[in-house]
Amino acid sequence: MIKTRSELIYLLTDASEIEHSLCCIYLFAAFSLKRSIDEGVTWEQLLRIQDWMQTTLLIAREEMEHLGLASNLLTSIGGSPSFHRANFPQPARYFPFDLTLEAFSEATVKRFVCFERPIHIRPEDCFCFDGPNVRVSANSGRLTPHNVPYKTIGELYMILREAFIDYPAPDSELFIGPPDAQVGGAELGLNLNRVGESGGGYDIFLFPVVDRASAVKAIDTIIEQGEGTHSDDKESHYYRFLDVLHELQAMKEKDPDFEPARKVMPNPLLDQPRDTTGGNIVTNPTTRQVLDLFNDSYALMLQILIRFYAHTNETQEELNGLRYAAFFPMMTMVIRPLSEILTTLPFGEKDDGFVAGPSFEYENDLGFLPHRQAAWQVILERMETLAIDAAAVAKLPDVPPRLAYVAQNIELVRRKFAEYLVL
Amino acid sequence: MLIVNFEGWSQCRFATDPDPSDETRGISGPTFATPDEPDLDRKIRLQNPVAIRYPRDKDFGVFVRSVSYQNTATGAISNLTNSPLIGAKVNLLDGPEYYQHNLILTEEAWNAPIDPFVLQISGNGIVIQRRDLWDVTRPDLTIYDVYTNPVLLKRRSNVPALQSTEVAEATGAVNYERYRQQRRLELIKLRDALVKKKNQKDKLKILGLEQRINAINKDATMVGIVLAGQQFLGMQASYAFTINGQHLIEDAKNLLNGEIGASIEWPLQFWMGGYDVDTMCNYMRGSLSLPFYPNERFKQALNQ
Repeated sequence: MIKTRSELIYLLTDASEIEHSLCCIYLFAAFSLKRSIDEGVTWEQLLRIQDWMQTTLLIAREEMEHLGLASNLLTSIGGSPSFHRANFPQPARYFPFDLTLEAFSEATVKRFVCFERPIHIRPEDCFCFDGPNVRVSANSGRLTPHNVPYKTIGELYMILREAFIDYPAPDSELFIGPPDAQVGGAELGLNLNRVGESGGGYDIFLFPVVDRASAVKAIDTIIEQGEGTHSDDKESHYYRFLDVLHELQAMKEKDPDFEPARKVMPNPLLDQPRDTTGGNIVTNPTTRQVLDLFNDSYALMLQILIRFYAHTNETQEELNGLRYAAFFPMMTMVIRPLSEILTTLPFGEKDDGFVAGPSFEYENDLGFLPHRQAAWQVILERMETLAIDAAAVAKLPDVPPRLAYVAQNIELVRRKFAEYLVL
Repeated sequence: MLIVNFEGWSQCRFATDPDPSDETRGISGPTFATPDEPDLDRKIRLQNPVAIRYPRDKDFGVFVRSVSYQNTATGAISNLTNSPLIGAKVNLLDGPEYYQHNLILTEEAWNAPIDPFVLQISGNGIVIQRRDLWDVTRPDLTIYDVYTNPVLLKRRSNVPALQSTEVAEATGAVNYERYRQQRRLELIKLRDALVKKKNQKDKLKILGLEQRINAINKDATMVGIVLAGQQFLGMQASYAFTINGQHLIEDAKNLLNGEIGASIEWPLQFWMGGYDVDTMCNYMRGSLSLPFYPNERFKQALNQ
């Protein structure tokens, strides 16, 4: 039984790491999908592929939402939002297999079904048969937080849910973090008018956690979207991926040569990160420069997110600036286009048909920048460098013209972001 | 002053966030190109639509619906039921787009400045056209030059309203859910009719209709995308500015019976609203005020 704040923080940090990792894995698979009938698929097949991409991107967005809710939960109890995770490929820890970046395929989707497994489904009935699906994490009984067993992500959240409900102190003692340091849908323009409540823009429901009720609501939202709350919850990630799997299997049965994804090299890497082994180093020089640009954009986005989710004495205007840069502009106009470009670029120096993909790699230099003035200067300088680098990469021979659009977007964000800088 | 009132359906085939703005087929947002259609291109079209979809194929286009004359001295307004401008085409020239870049250029979700902006009204041998400039002292400026300058940007920014009554009454989308479900039934009928014909050349059209039906079917499961789509149905983006740039006025036969003044800016107000993600069309309604010096013939006609 969880009894201390430290244990709650430990488990929520763990949850943040899982959500972040799953988000990258799902995005990688989505961006590997073919986008045109010129890639050896029929129109009928392409329409199905587009549906699968839409579904996978939707689920990835909801993983981002879960990461946001976990961050709010952490802040609410005095912890620090966590955007850290291990680089890919990650050795088996949460699941019975390594966490890897791989192209969309029947095997990949089966793993996704396993990731989202509801507790009432037996592991062997949802492709979790490669090993014991048991992750060991925190527990009480020791001075330092350590381990309790959980078998699914849903179970981890159920443990957290009970811990919040049973926490042996009143709300006023547990929820000591500032609510205005959290992120809600209103700040992101995601609160659309709905009957009875607001929220739901792009299927995202973000709200601040201020007491037990809102903490439980946040956890229930995550559980409901992930594994579902009842045995036939068609909107849960589990059933969405199961539907995708069944459709894919039917299409393969009809046409055994059908390949929905590009020939993307699994676990592409720019360099071997210190915290992982394995992976495949991209050797094509041009592709390496684009991947470098991607990783730098991703790292910058994380740095802005960390500052946004853990801001200190920023003015409202400055908060607007952080929000402005991190969410729609960086995510949809830089990260996604660069990812899509990477899965069209050759992996190796010799063209063996393999293409690259977004590696989401970073070295461990993404800690919280604690001093507001310095933090903003660091972020702006990094953005300026990124804009210059993007413009240079866009001018390389043999890169798709779309890179110029990405470079333009980065430059536009930089110029606007600089306007917010009031040191 | 001549007051030219116009309205009708316009088209903009664009991907919306969370798709990137340059997405050409439409994946994660509520809009998409079907197999029988060319790539999305973001252009605003008031005339000559591209790959127009049912039911907008029957009533597309923005036209002048009424014209009135206001005596600025007395304030009296006369409805000009015989104006040669009635029925004239209203158009935006030079490939205008809604510019936002997924909230890079503007920070409000429903604010989408139009650039470039060249309004043309043409019909019966009459052409009235004028370009709007962000800054008359720097005519070459584009949205990319002004997006960090709130004073300049405000000029062509819109005021958004959601769930607008005026929009609902103009489009008929007074119940968003029912509107979409009714469309679904109509699309199913169209698809079934084509399937029945068993014509191989209709294959892509059938796939396109199925894609549209499938998108509406997702109303049951994709909460946010549907909500966003429904927000579009009720949205009203109101623009108001005075057109200030280069003009072109042609009326060789002097059918207008007077002279339009171009030394003075032309007040324009209009709204774009009721964007239907299924057809990628929206309704437009507005009015253009033209400084006008009537001739004797006009005055006589007015007095009759």
